[in-house]
Amino acid sequence: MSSIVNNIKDKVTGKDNSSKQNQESEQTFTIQPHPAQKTNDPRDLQGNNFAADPKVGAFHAREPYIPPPEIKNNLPPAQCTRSREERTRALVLHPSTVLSVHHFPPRQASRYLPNMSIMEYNGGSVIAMVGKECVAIASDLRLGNQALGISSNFQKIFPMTDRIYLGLPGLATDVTTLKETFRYRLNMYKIKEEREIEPQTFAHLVSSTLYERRFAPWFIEPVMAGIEKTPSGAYKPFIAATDLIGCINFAKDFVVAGTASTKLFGVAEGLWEPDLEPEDLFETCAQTLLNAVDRDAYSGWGAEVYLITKDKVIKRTLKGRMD
Amino acid sequence: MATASRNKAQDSISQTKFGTNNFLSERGIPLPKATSTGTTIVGCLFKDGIILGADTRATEGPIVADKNCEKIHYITDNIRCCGAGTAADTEFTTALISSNMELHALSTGRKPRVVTAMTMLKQMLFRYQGHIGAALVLGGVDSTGPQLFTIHPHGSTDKLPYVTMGSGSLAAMAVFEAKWRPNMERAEALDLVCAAVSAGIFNDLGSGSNVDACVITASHTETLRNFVKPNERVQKERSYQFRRGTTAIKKEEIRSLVVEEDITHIIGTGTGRGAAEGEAMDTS
Repeated sequence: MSSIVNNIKDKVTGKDNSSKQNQESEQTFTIQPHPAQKTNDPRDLQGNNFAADPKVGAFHAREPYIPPPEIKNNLPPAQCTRSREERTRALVLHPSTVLSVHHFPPRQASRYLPNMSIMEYNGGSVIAMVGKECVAIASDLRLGNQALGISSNFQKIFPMTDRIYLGLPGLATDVTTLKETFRYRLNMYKIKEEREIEPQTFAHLVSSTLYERRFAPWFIEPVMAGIEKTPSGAYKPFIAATDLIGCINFAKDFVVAGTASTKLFGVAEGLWEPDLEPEDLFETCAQTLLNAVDRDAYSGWGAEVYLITKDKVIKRTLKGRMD
Repeated sequence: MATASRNKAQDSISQTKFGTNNFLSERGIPLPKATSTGTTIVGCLFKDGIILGADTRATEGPIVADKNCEKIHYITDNIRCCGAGTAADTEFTTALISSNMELHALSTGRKPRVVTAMTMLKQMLFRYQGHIGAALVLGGVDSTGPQLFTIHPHGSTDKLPYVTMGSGSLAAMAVFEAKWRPNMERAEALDLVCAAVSAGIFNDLGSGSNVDACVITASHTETLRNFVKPNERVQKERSYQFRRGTTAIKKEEIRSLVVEEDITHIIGTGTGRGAAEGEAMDTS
């Protein structure tokens, strides 16, 4: 059947098929040409076919258009002779110009913001400590723009459930964003599970929320403190901290984070002891924070402590140095 | 010209993929430090199976962030994985592969193999081109016998009878090179693993605290958390508690978690107003 069609095709196209002789003896199979084409020869596409018509064919442009020298050499001069960098610099220096990020000249920002770490941009520190059937979490209240103090009432600790408190030291914009993110995720958890989240589970929620942004992280090192109910009905203190990409540190004594973390580590290591009663834990935690923060330029300007026990949460605002 | 524009295109791809990181570091702003486990992790073959070992120090630059962290991660019942490098990355990659191995075991109906975990890990790490900073020692016993691998952050793997990884790997490998022999007894091999990890703990600043170990044989897996504690802290010589009231307080707010409920008993014989209301509310 196909040989008959081929014979007709060959007659129509007027082409000679060299294997014509073999077709008598043995059946062969060929690829049938597309109905719009006469043969399978790709050269047919370039000739007098439909797509080759430059007015109709969409993909007739095979090579980039290089203008001939007479056109190329007679082009009018460019309207702007300054480089993109020069233009942006002019924009930056002009006070009335509204800038978008894209106008910011590359490698020049370091001139305006020398030696800057994004984690130290707004300042602030948090510490959490374990006591006997209680936990304390404390933070400073400073919001700064590098060395310039902006606010002495910037909260970094937020209640997540009745018994879990979360401290978010780091970049202030991310403090606000993450606070809302966790509020949303906890509400969803509560609706789905029809119960409050347990501290251990909450730590993993924080961890995966941060690791979600592994390659463009939130600049926050969360610290959390809470009391968990054991199956036997007893209350067990819980603290944890993560780094900015969500590596959890379940500590049994204390956890610290923020610009004063190094100082907090030192003071807490010296002052903390196991099984402190709530009021003693408050004093230890408050004194650790106040004294560490006094040795950190980016933290301070007041402090607050949350003391979480099995039947109540006490929030105390402390008197601290205001310099 | 063509190559120049190609490079530019590639730059913009990495820029979008790794977002603000390049943007900030180009501007001379250093990236914040993530917790890393500047670690000593080891593994060795012995007569009946595999022993894995690890130290327990996590660091953040020069600061010891965690003095007793866990670096031997669960993959399946018969497979464990030690992690060095960026702590969050080792934690999350091993958790992901552990989950996938469970699903794989369920769908094949066979006991999972170590090579399967190794292939999953190396393919994932290669896909991320080294940006996931996980250096792993993977070990276990399966139907093909005891298996021990190392996996580097870029996705390359080694299969050796004794392996070390992390910043303390040189110290630990020195011990293995000197003392490892084929077909060691369990106690002897466990001592060797402890010696190797201890070499890291005491000679490498990135490693410290205790020795964790894990013995995997064909029949069962034994986790030996804090197997040796050569750096225990002594009791403080005195108490440093503050006298109550030391800290000056500006304001105090108390939130009670106890729900207080007042129950008013309405004593009536049915003619009282309260009783009538109570009856009426029952029907609703």
